[in-house]
Amino acid sequence: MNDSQGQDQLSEKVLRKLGKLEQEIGRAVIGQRQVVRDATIALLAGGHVLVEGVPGLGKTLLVRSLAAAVGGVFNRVQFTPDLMPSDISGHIMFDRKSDSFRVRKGPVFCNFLLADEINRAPAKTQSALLEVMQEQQVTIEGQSFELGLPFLVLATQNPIEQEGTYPLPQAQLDRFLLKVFIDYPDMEEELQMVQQITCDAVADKLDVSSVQEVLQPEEILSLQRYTSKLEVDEQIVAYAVKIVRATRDWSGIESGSGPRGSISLLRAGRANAVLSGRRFVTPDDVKAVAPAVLRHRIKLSADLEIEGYQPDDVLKDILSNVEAPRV
Amino acid sequence: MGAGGLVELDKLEINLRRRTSWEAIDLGFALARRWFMPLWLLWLASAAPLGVMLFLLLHEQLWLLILLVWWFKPLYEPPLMFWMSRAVFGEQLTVKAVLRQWWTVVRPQLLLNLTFRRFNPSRSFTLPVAILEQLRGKPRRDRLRVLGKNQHAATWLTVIGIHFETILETAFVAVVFMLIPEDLRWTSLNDLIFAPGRIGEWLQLAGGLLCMSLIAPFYVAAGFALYLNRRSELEGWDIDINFRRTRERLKKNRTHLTGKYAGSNTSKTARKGTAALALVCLLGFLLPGLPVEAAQSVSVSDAKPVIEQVLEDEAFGRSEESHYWQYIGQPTADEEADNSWIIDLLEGVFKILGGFFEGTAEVGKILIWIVGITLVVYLLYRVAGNTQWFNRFQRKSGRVNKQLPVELFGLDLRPDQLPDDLAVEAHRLASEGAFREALSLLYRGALVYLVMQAHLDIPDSATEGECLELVKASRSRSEADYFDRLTNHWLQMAYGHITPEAAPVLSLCDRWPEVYSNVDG
Repeated sequence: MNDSQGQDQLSEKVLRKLGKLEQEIGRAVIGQRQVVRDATIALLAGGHVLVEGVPGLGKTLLVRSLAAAVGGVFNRVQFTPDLMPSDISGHIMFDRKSDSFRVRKGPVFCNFLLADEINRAPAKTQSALLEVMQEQQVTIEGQSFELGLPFLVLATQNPIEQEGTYPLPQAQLDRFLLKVFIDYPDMEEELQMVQQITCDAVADKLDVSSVQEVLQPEEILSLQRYTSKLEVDEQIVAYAVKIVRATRDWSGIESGSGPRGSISLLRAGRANAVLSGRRFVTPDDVKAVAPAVLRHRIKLSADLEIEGYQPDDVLKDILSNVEAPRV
Repeated sequence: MGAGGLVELDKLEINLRRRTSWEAIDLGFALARRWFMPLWLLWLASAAPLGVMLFLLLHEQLWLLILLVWWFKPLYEPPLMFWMSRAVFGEQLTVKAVLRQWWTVVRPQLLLNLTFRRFNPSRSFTLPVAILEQLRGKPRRDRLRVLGKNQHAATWLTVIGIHFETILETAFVAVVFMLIPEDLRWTSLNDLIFAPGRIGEWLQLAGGLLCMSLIAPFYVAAGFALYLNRRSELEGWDIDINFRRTRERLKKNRTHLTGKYAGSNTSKTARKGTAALALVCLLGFLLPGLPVEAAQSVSVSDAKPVIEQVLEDEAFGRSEESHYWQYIGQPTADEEADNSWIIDLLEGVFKILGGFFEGTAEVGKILIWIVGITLVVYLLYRVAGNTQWFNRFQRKSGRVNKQLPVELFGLDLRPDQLPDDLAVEAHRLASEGAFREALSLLYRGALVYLVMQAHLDIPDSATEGECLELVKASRSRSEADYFDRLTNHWLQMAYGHITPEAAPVLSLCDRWPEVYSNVDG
């Protein structure tokens, strides 16, 4: 049995479990299918997600469900203006009992971190987290500590309360693989959610007990490796690059996406193909993830912003004008 | 001013002097400022009831309501003119008094004023002739000819009034818009003014009425002042008034002198005022009483030597020339005869020039024809090149004019680029193991049929998945199922580089004619 066949057999086995991952998360998180799909894409692609939405739409529940479904450690940090970098990464403290210095690891040492309202912390704290996201290791007083993998950060932003916030700079936003919008559920989903949560529940405690563990963290890692090796035709790569390049000289866009946008587009496209049960990437995979990958990497011109246009409107125009691959 | 245009100059409240037309308009504005309130109330008293009546009839068609309120402007102005004609002679009527005789004031020539005289550019200037002098027909035309000679200020007054009214109305709507808090703004200023909509039209109606009522007193007063100035100029009212004053003054002086210097005829004052005395004597003769029209009873031959004598005095040494254009009709035959040598000369010159340019003119004529034909051909070409402009006005079944793509995903979609028997050719390729070529041919053939015959609108940016969605949405289930299978095999081959089994590809080849032979041709 050669490597390829071995990988195929591994993937067959794991892919069946992966198919159940979204179902399991769906047991706790009612509706929000696109957000669940995007979080799973980020997990498979080894990226991080910036979620924008008003409070109370199930962001914490989503991350906790994801952690429960893959058997990982979940932590949550509420970002505030007085939050320091060491509050996230940890610090060294003197232990009188042992008469020595001891490292106290911060909440970042987990598999799934919910960074709630990330834009409420000052730039220094934001940078500390974003550096951890990029390097996947933490340095405390000169000592480096590897984070346990998989590591997924789901940072949230509230779009309506901008007072006293520190908006993330464009360079920092680029570190997130996807930016997704979490919206109000529709009537049917909300009914189902209210019934499910209020039945046999005390107070507001989030219940993820119905979520079964379907994947181990190690399996996630092997899935990430499988995803990264998924075959991509040259035409698909060219298509992704064409889309990203179009954002650079498109009328109405002040600054387009950099090469990291093309890379992210392919990573997310691969993960989308895996979740669709395919072993190759199609133009549809790239097109499907393009809005979430690119919406936070472009800056609209002042004219369009004043007129109330959103990045998604412009991206829609770009996607309907860039020619699909020609085989 | 009495009916028929007779004036009582003694009672005139304004200081008459020789004024230019622009100064007269300024005088009118000063009068409007002084008497603004009664004039404004009089305008509203006419306009508001009509506005309410029109609103009750036409509240569903605001644009018509606005148009009619504007059109009936000549109905609102006569009361203002009537009031001013009394006020300048010291009789300030109450608004109620004018309204009591409203119909009598407004009625003269109302129909004409509201119809073909509606767009008369010097309406406020000619209004007194109809309202105060009550002339009509030929006398009116003659009167206006005399009054209107070299008078253009009235037209400019109307032009400027229209501009001010428009600016004020736009400013009113803009101010109202700016006062709306930003959070509550539901529309843009542009849409508020130009887009049809109830609130925008209501604002324009309110603003229009307000601005018309503000401008109208100034417009009417300025027109009336122009009229007064012109009559004063023609009939010498200012001179008349000054002479009257001088006569009164001298009469008093004479009485005074008679008492003080009785028997003396060497008074210095009396010597110096010889010319003035002669003039006053003349006036005493000419103006035994009022009104001024009595002067016309003196014959021209009697007055002429006296006037010449007066003009010889040093006090009247100044002469002034003014120029204006006036049509004097065709020159008489005698004049033509006098200038015949000039005409002959000109004719000769033109003949020589005409002969010289005759050939050039013919060439020019041909050139104009060429330019005209080229223009028409170009326009036809543009129309033909943009036939999609007309497509939206045609029914969807207009397949002939629809521009069809010739390439999609790099696949040549022209039917003549496909083999005659596509399925057989694909089957042959698949049998030889050239699955990629076979699937490419089938997929291309399917797209050609979908675009060219099923008239599916597939954009260049459409991916295979989007094409499949389009087919599922608009074609039969069996066709969609077939296209689904074909697309999946094509995707695996093209992007996954997965070589398919021979059987399913051959099956696709075999079914191809069955599925696409039924597509509408």
